[in-house]
Amino acid sequence: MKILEAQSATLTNYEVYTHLVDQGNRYSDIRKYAEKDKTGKIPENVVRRPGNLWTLRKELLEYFREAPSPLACQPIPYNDETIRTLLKELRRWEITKGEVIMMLNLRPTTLENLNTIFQEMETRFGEEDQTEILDVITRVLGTPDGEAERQAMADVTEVLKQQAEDLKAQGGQQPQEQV
Amino acid sequence: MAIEDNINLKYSNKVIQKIGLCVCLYDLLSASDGLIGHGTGLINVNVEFRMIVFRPFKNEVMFGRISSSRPEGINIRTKFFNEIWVPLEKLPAGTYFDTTEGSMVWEAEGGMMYFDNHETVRFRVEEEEWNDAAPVGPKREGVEVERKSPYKLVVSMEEPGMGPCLWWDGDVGGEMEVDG
Repeated sequence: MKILEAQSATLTNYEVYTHLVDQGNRYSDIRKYAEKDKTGKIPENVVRRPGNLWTLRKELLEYFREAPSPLACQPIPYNDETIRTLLKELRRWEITKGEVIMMLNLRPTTLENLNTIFQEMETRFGEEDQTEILDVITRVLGTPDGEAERQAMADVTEVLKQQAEDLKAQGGQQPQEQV
Repeated sequence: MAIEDNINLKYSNKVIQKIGLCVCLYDLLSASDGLIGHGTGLINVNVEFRMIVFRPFKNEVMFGRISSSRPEGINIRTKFFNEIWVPLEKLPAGTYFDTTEGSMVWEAEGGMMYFDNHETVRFRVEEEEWNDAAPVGPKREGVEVERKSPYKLVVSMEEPGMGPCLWWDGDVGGEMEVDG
């Protein structure tokens, strides 16, 4: 194995997400149209994909679909044009690529959250610019349903806590983190 | 298809040193003709491909969930990646470990803020740590070999806006409803 180029490009969560979804569709098509062999079954090697890929795929999709990720919204607020439009609208300011990626991944809706994305936001942008950038984000990327998002987040937290409690009650030890 | 499966089988969900956690094949750039291997009869193909890799850049802000806390810091995990560590000094000043609750507490002006387990948090990537997990040879008696994870992120949650999302996103609920 030889690595020709490391990090030739950075992808946003949305791009990875679409890749995984497309891949899933492709695989299910294969399953659907797979030719049956003599015994009337589809050969295993045609239908089955590597297990390690499957595990990671499942976990990644779960991660993307968990609030407060923008991809957790239904329908997904982004489409193929979103990234291009956002870049066009943000051209007025000097914003690095990494910062745009974070915008797409986190979708900040408040100045506090915008502040976490930009380094030294106050010195780089005036107050008007800051609100204008926020406006662009909400216009292009949409606004999350804040209440529902927080609810979903809290619900999952409760479920996880409950699971941990149950595990303890069963006499099993809580999974220990390896550091 | 066979090439894709074999590449994914080999790399998916695995860490390459200084590269990151491999997700899956992105696209194939080129592939040679099949060459029949000596002695095995298997067909070998040389390929050049691009891979989707999880490797957050420095200062990237991400979401995750707290998985456990210790007096020295907090462990965070995402659904697919568990090795995220926040040392105590990268938490807001005035944070300490509450032994009765088993979690970190931040004594803020408004009161006690708990870093509860399973809470969704926002954090900033500070450093990455690589440990080559190559085999170290046969086990010797009395010598404990420490198992280290091949790829670990050290992150911070000390700035405003970081830490449990509910702390920061809650206040603006009313405002956003007006906009929507």
